[in-house]
Amino acid sequence: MENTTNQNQIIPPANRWIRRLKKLKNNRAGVLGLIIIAGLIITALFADYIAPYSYKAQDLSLMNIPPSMDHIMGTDEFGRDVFSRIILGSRISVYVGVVSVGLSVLIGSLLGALAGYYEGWLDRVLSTVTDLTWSLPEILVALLLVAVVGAGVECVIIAIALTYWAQYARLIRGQILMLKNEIYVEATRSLGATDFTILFKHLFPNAIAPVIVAATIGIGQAIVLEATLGFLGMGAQPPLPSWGAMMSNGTAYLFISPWVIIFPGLAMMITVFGFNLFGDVLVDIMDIREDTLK
Amino acid sequence: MSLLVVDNVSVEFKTRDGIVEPLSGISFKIDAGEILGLVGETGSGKSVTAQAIMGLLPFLNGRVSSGRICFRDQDLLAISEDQYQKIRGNHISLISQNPMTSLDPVYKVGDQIVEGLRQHVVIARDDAVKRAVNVMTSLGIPNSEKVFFQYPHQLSGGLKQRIVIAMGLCADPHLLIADEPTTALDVTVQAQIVELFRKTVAQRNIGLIMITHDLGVISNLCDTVVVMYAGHVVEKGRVQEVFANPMHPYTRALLKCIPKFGMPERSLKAIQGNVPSVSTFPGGCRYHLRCPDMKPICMTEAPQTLQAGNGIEVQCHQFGPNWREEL
Amino acid sequence: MWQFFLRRLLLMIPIFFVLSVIIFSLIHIVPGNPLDNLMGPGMTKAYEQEMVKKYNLDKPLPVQYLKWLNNMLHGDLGSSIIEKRPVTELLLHHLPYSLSLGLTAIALSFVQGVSMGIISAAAKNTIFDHLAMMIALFGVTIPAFWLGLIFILIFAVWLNWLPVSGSGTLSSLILPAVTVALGGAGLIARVTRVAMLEVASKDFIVMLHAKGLGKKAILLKHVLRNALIPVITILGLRIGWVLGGAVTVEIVFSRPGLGQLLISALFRRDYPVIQGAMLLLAMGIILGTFLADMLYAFADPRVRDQTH
Repeated sequence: MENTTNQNQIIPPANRWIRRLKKLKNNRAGVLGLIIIAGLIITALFADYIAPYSYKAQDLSLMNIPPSMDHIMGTDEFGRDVFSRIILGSRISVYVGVVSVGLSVLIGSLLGALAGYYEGWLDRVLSTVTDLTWSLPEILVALLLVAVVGAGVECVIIAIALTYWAQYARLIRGQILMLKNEIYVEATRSLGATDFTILFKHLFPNAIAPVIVAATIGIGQAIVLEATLGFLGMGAQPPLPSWGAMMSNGTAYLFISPWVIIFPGLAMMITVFGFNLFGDVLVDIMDIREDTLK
Repeated sequence: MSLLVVDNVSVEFKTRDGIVEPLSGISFKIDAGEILGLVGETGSGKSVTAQAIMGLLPFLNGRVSSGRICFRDQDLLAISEDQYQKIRGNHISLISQNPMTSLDPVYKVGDQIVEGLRQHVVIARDDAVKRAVNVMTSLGIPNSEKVFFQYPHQLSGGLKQRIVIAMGLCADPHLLIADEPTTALDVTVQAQIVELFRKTVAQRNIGLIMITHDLGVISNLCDTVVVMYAGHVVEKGRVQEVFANPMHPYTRALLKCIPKFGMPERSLKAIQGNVPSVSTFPGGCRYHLRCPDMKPICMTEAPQTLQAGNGIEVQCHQFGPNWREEL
Repeated sequence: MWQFFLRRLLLMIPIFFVLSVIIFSLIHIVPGNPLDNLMGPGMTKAYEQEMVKKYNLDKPLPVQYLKWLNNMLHGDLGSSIIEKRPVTELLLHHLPYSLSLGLTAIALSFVQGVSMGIISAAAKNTIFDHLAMMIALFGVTIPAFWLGLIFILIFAVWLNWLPVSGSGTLSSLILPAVTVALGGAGLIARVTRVAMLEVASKDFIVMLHAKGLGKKAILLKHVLRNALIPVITILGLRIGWVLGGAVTVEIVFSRPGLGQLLISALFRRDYPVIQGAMLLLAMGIILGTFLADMLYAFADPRVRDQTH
């Protein structure tokens, strides 16, 4: 009985991170997620060295070959090696996923923090916009935005960032609303701290944890959204191999060479699965209540 | 034959930080027609005792780790969950502690009373409704027929409390466990409810375990009293005997906390300190940290239960053989 | 209850106006002169005059909006630049395909999601729970268009059980509906599980045990009943999917729904059609949210008594 007494004490921040790492080490799903993410990033960075063939080398004598020893995932309608194209395609996926989510977290958390801290009209406008984007299917929002800003990788990044920012704004707003009434905020204010210091030095670091989790899962979602836009012909333009575009081209040959569609889809599924696994585990190890993420 | 025998029962809960034992070797018994008061501060293990008797611990990550609970000579710890379901709410009823959170928010309160009744008694719905409304009226609920069709959030705390009591009384239990049933009620209603309990026990010849920290209610209503502290029974006996001649230092302190009419305000005593939480129960006698008569033995050795002459049982070294030799 | 109903009904009107302003602005947000966007290749000067007159492009914006609104309320959404048919007619032609797919999918996803959530919560931390949550996770993460293609490959090509595409028969609805439903089911299963576990930890559940109720009755009559409240909320928030979320699936299965209409209009910059389709989707979403609100109030007596 005595040995349980000191477990309720407050844990200093440094130890908190060590404890989280320990929790992660013991969580097999989390480790798996982390391995998948690391694998993806390494693949994207060293794609040129990993891919056995050039992504654009066409060889019409090798059209639509089923998976074999030479081409482990077969070839497409131009005789290009599907495996190499998937490896190269991971670059666009990672690039779009990370940059677009990074942008939307930046926009979202800034606006969300301001809305939560000052409330008033900014908060009301923000809430209306976030509610609206919530009820619209994200693919429609992204499509419309692409229609406005145009097609291509950079435009897709902007469209995805503008589709997703509201959910991060909503999250951080809720956190700030909750945190700003804590006693230590009053204390810092009475010591003469400005609104800016309180908001960005004291509240923000404490409010960011659920956003990190949501963003982890969000990168997976963004990769799917990019592929979906690519599938509809609005993503990276040829000959750049994006997973969505590969599958889009493959539909015409679905009955002849299904591997052109199956493998990029599997790659995407594993990727998204990895981000989701890791995100779910983050919820657990960072002690975030699940309902804050809704 | 006693109605209920609780014999040397210990309870364990699994928590995130390991196993805790909020109840350690408690014993008492109650006969039909008897009202037993279970008294102690928050955290002393009163509610856990009620949950143990009701067999609710498995739903709360807890279990009875040792001891015996016998209801009308049937070992409740040996029967299956299906058999227990036929006893719960039927032969043994629980009136829960917190009326605010004890009702399902999405069903009408009347339906919730009828639901329990029809679970055990073969009765037409109309008759069940009539019976429920009657019980509600007898508990002093105004416009019972209307209240029957209302949802919990539409009722005041006092009304909800009475609905919860009605749920417990509606079937015909042999044993009623009331966990602080009068806390949310104002004083006049409290008196009414206490009177109703007394009448019900006398008329139906049932046993009542009254869990409370209100010593006024105990002296008013109960035949016997069991004083609990930090998961132990520290003293038990007839109410008159214990109140007239409290033995355990904790009981004495508790009795000093009751305000008496006409007594000067300053003489009202509070017990120093708090009940330790379950993970910090001290070794030795669990009361020693707050005890004015503490001696070294209290820190190292847990006291045995001792029989005093007037039927009181007490758990304190003071009445042990070696007390005088201690420093 | 009636008061609540009426209040929600009236609330739809301002929301509709806000959305109509947003959709109206669409054509003016897009870079370039709106006239350029209204003009297809090889259009004549006379047609340009007609467009200017039709959309009142020579008038100030608020006047343009009011005219547009007035026309719209009379059922006139303009004509498609490409197809030269009234937008209303096009929308009415495509709507049934989206509606039938969306409603089937949402019903399927609700049934499948809730049952998976129940199994998961009832058998918490067992192999069944992990399995159901794994399926749910896949449902949420697999892109619908890919799943649709794989389904075509398996059920239409290899097994030859169901038609590859088409829109007329009931059997042609099965594959697209299941494809769309799986994503929603994953979300609903996860929400149901969390909500049920949350409800199961409430005090009143212990009291139900104390009343002597069986585990099954408690689980289905009380835990599930309470847990459905957040599930309905999520369903209400996502009701827009009924009409618009199946864009890619409609394309994969060559189903002539609203999504497909919208996509082709987007590609061809057929702005009257884009505006019209968006407006219809917005109305569908408003109506769906209203229905979800009603359902929500029906499920939770506390909501009915709210007085704001």
